[in-house]
Amino acid sequence: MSDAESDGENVEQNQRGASQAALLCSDGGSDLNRFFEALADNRRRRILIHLQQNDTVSLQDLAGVLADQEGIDHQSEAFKRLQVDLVHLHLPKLADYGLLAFDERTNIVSSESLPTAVEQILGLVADLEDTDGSIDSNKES
Amino acid sequence: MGRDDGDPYRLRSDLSVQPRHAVITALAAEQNRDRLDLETPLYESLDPEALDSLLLHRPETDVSVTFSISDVTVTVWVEDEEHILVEVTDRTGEAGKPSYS
Repeated sequence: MSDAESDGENVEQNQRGASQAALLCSDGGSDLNRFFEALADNRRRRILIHLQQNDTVSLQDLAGVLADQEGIDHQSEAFKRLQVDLVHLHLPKLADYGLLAFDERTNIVSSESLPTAVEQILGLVADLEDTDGSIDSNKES
Repeated sequence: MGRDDGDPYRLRSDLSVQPRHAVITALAAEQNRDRLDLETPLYESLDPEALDSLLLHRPETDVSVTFSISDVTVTVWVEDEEHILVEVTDRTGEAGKPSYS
């Protein structure tokens, strides 16, 4: 890619927002790989779907939402493991990919503006997927 | 803490516990903190999903993973295809003798 072309691309990335730049500024050509890896988890998809409807959510409330979707008792070890996965895996990974922001001091999760492709796929997922990640083949699109 | 002499902390879990959770539990015990209050998220050191995948892809394969996080070195492996072993060693103890008050 020539300098002129890459400069144009960078300007366009800045205009589309930092979140897209973070997703797209990856090791040459593997944008789609990173995008699929970010979404390759049922909980991560449901986190992003929740943030499409809620600009911010506390870590506690988010854990509660996910647990309720999965039928997990809030007093159980499974709930604790869900929280551990949020803090140690899902939130840092999604933040790394520019798909949300997580403030570790305040424990607040904030939505980021998402690339159109991500929005479309999340919409599709919300319709087709059950909370445990199985595809509900009986649902009509 | 009674572990100034640098003895490794060891945790054994069965395979129903994912390796990433065994590691986080071991770190929490070693740091004497809640799993949600560790110094840094595990993701800052390595991808927890990659860790699980490396260790569980074929349990019969001997794989061990060693990495540094905070002031410790962590080693995790599958033993006898039945258990996950995590060993946490304090690296700050290596440089000098413990002091006695």
